[in-house]
Amino acid sequence: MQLEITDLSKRYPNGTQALQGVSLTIPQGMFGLLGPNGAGKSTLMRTLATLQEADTGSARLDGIDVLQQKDEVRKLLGYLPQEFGLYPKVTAESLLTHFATLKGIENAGERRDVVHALLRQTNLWDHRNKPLGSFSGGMKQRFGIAQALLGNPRLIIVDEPTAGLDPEERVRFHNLLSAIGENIIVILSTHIVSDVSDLCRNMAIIHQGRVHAAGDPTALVDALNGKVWKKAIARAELADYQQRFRVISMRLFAGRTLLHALSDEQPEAGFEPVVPDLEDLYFATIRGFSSGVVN
Amino acid sequence: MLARIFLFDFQQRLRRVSTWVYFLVFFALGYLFTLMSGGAVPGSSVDFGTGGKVLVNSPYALNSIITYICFFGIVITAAIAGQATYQDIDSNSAVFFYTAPITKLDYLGGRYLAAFAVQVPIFASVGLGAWVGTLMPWIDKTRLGPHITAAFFQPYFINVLPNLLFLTAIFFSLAALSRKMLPVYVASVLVLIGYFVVGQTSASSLAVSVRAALADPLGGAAIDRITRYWTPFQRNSQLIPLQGILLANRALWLGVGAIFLAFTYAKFAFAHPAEKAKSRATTDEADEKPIASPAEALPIAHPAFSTGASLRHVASLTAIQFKETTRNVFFLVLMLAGFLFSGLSAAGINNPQANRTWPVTHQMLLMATGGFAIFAFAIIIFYSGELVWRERDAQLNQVMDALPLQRWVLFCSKLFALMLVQVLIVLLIMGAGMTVQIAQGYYHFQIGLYLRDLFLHRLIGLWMICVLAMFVQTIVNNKYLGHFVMVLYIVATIALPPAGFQDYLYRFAETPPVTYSDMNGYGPFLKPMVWFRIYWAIAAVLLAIITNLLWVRGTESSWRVRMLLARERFSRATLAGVTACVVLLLGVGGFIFYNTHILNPYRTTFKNDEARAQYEKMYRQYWPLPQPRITDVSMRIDIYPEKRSVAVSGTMWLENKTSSDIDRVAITIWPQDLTPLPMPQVRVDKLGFVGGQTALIGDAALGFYLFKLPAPLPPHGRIQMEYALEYDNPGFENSQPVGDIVHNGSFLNDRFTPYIGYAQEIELTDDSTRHKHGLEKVRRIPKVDDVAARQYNSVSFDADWINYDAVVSTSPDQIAIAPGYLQKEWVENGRRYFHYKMDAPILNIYSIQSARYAVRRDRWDGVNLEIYYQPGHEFNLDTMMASMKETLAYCTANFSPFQFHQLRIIEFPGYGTFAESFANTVPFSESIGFITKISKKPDAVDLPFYVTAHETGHQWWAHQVISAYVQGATSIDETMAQYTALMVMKHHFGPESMQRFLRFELDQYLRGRAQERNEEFPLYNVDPNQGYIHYNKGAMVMYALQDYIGEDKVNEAIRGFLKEFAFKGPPYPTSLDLEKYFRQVTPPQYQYLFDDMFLNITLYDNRALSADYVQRADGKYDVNLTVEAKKFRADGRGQEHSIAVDDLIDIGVQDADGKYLYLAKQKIDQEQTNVTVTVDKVPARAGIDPVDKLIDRNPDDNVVAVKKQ
Repeated sequence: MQLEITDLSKRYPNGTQALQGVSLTIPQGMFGLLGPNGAGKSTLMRTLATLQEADTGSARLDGIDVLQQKDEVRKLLGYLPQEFGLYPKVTAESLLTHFATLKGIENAGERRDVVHALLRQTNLWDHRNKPLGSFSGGMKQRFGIAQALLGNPRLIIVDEPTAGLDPEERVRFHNLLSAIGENIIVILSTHIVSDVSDLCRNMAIIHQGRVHAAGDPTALVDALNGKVWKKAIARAELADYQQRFRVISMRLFAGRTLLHALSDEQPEAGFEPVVPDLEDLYFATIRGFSSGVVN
Repeated sequence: MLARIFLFDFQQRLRRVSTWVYFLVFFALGYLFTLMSGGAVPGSSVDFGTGGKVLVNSPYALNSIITYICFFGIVITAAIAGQATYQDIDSNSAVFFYTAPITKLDYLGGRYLAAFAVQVPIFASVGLGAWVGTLMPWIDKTRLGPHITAAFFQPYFINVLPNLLFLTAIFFSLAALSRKMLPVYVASVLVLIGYFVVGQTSASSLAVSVRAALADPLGGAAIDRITRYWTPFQRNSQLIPLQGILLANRALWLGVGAIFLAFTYAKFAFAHPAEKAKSRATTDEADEKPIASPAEALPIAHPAFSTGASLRHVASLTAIQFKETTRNVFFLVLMLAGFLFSGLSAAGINNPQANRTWPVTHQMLLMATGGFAIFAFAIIIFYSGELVWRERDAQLNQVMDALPLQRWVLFCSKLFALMLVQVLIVLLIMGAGMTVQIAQGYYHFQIGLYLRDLFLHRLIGLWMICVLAMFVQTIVNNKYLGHFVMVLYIVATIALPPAGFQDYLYRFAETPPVTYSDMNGYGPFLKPMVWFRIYWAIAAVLLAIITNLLWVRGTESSWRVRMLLARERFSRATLAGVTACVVLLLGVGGFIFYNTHILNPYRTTFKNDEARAQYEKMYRQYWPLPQPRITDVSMRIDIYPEKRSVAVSGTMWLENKTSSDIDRVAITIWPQDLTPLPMPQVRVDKLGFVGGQTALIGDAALGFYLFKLPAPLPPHGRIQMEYALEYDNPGFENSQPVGDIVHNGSFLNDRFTPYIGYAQEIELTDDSTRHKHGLEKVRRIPKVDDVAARQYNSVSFDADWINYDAVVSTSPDQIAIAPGYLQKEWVENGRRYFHYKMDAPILNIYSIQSARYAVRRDRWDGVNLEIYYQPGHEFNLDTMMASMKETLAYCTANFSPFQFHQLRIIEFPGYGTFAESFANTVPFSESIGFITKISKKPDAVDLPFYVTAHETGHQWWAHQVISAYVQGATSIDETMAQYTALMVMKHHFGPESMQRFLRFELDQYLRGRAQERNEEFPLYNVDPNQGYIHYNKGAMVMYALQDYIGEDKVNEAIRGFLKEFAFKGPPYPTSLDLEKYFRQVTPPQYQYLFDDMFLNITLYDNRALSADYVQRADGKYDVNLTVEAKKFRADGRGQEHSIAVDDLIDIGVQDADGKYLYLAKQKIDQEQTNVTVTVDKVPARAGIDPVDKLIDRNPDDNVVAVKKQ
């Protein structure tokens, strides 16, 4: 099973080019979609989740034309949007049961088993009789994932699921996702690099509506081996360095600015080589210094 | 800071498209309504406070147009005022404002003022539109008066702006305190329906009481109280003054608004609602313990996606949506309010004239659904928005939309939930109706009728509106704009028919009006109702399919994408559905079109009027042509109730009563309420003279024929005319069906037989209507001193007194009745025949009735009394019988002997609400006397008794003496019938019970003259159309006259008058002849009454200023009273000038029980007079003209409490 996206483009009525010739092949397992805010991740996710139309291009999930056969896609789909609300007065169990019905789980026994199992897995079992209005952000998010997992979905799309979660909740959430994500396609969009490096065997970096890099994160990072250099400088020198070198990232460290730059050889005295990580790749990519597809 | 907040918010709102949409729509409404009332739209007959002599740009008309249109802006006010604070909650930005260094006053004050301020330009656009409308070249210049700038502003200062301040305060407070929009909607719905109910109440009530005028939060009742008696002159020239009751009303409600704001200021807190924080705390705590999440395998479920599953989804989603809609306190409040409103209106609160009817089921349905329709519409409008936006408002739409549900499942579940709400609403009506029935001790429920009417008629209509509302919400894809578009739809349903758009083939979800009658069931109303329901039901299904295609699913809502999606969604099933709907719609529409445009002509009000105008334009020239008169009528009428057809044939003898030869005879055939032919379709099978004729004109469309006789008819020569006509009602019509020939209760009362000559009564009588159709001003009937006109009597120009004979046949189970005495009754060929014959000459008017009657018989002094009635309508038979007897007794004793030995009252279906007197025969509507519930209250008017007495009186007034066809004719025929009824009632109920009746007559007269479209005449030359003069003022005048000169004197004069004129042919008597007899019996000091009451329009402004008393040594009491008397004369337009008072006016002193200790006339010849009278007991109240005998626009201030000195 694999999702084949070909040349997908989308322009909004206000002129924003949200997607521009996006082509991706997404195999089974966790797939990370990495990009800054406004890169077009949500547009892509919503398009795959049948909520939005593309101007051109196609997406096929095995035999299904995702853009045309929406009803077929929805039968396989679990979707967790970036932002969502819940009916505040309804309890977690009854709303989840309601969704289970709507997902076509007709058998009442099956439905109860699934709902109970999901409430347990998402650690909402103790809160199942509480109204959703009293849920914290993390609980709400977990309810969202429970909802997305109903009815054995073959394609799960989760949009920025860890935004607003505390670190512990994030870990739990990752565990849950990776446990179910082995035999089906899970597309996870995020702007947090470690989400992808922790979870995904495949990924794509999307920026300004285009795919700038795609493939196995390890392989992609490997391509940068020996090309990333670091140097600690005074803050005042930063502008000068940015002009002279391909600076991919900088952060404050012990009162000085530690910058990473991309270069095939040592850019200048004082630069030291570093072992590249996904973050280097990500920043190098969105700064336009690097792109590549490795499968 | 307040100013900054105000400015920011105000500017934000001004930048919104919706603000300008509202502005433009209101501008357009003001503009269009002005054009329509200004005669710029051909075929339009809109009157908004205008009409007749009230001009389009008069202060009164502008006030009506502006306040009426602005009234529909309540939904806008609700949206804007609610959003003023709710926008922060909605957008989750409240916390930024709550934590900013601003005060509550800054925040609330700024937001409130901005919400108010932004509405000012929106609502001002109505006046602007109206003003631009008056400048348009195509407006009829005769409908415009001088431009009065202040008249465009005044409605805003006295009405619109105070209302905005008040309503904005209410809605603003509700939203600010509840942090929800729903209470705001609920409040706006309550205001909306409350206003309609109040409007209905005040429109029909005796007088808007001071309390009602104060209680109306929008001020309409107060304005009505001020202007209700304004004459056209005043309406055209006077601004509505902001004083008195109106000022008090405005101050009161602005005060209430201020209290709301103050309360809001006190209660509003810059904080999150407390309860949320609390519950959050507990769950956070519970969430502390870390729980590992072993990745155990999920149980495998087996989703199924069958059609059956989809249907089950619809059912469960519908149930959830329905529950969500109805299970909250707001819905309960709405339902309770609806129950109260419908119950109150069904209980007859809106009809306090003591002539309430028994709560028969069809009356319950009628009253409960009238104003209630607006309530149901409001619920549909608001809840359609809520349902369509429910997921999006909860931000759950993305999750829902990605579920494997068919799109129609989502759409249908919402539509069905809304439709289920309508079931609750009709059940509510049923409950309210039955509650009222039980409360009034009426247990004949007619459940079947309730169910049929509510579920098969009203509910289906409401369901169509549901579909429309869902469609609109989906199309405009903006909740508030959707509400507004639906309000526009309602405005359109009200405004389009008068504008000439009357075809039900394009009036969504509407059917021709349906009147239920106990006698005739749904009768002729059923067929058009059913067919139009089917037609619009198909259209609604089509609309639902389109809505489903355009349903917003997913996150995109641009039209490009929606059209794209719609094309994509257009499946084969959709195609089949659309095709089926279109085919069915065309089929049913074609069938309706065949019935309503081919079998029956489709005519708007304008076209009907145009036909009448055409008749006048083309054939008026034959009015002076000398014509013979009918002397003998012999007719045969075959009624076929089941086919709704009638065949009329017969002969008429005509005599040349002129002094010259007649060679041409004109004949008009124009039956049925002056609506043009053929309604019903009329076929002329035979029309001609025994000796032959040559046709000169044969205009079947306008019903005019002109024949040349083979030889001229010499003076006194007689000729026999023969005719055979057939009336038929094929198919059904596109308007209210004619209820003359029906299955049970046929009633023919107008000219269903040929009319000799040009029929002047076909002419249009309203000047502004005439102007629209290119006719000059109405030709008044001849002046009272026109000697030539006295050759005609006022009921039929083509006859004097005639001999009458009729054979009527009908279905074997029905009784057919015509004037005359039954000679023979037989059955032949399965039909029942009746032969009626008059033994003395009668006027040339007759009625034919046929129904399955029960008969109540009685006798009075050799006279057979009969009441033919619908079984079940026995309520008032005794009263009617008693009234007939007492009236016959009174008239026989005081006027002259009764000319017949039979008198019959015959019920007809409630398609008309009148009774009418023919020779010894009185058709009487089921809805005015038969089901009237006679109040036990001592001061209530017994309507059946009164109407019966009036109609019995007509056996003298008309059927013994008939007036000449000149002005003032009805001051004999109708006013004297009123006098007869008044005297019979006075003797039956006692003089003290007459005051309430007189007060009612006074109010009706004053309202009537305010509505006068042409010119008000004094009583002696009243126009036949001025019922408010010859009935209401006439009753006042005659009551006063007998009070001044004595009842026996009046009757003495009447005896003399009857002796001279009863049963005489031309010249017929005029009002001056009657006045002459009255003057003869009137002492000199009262002769001035005739100038005041008969010959002029005289009004008084009498009032008591103060009164006190002292107890005298002999135990009696001296009452010292200061009264004021002002007297005015008015011209026909209502312009007044004051004249000196020199009158004898009642001075009265009452005790605490209302009994008169003193009541006598005193000479009043100054504006202010001090009077001292001595009474035996402690006086409580005293005043001038306390019994309302004189015409006084403010009778409430005639009496004051007497204080102890």
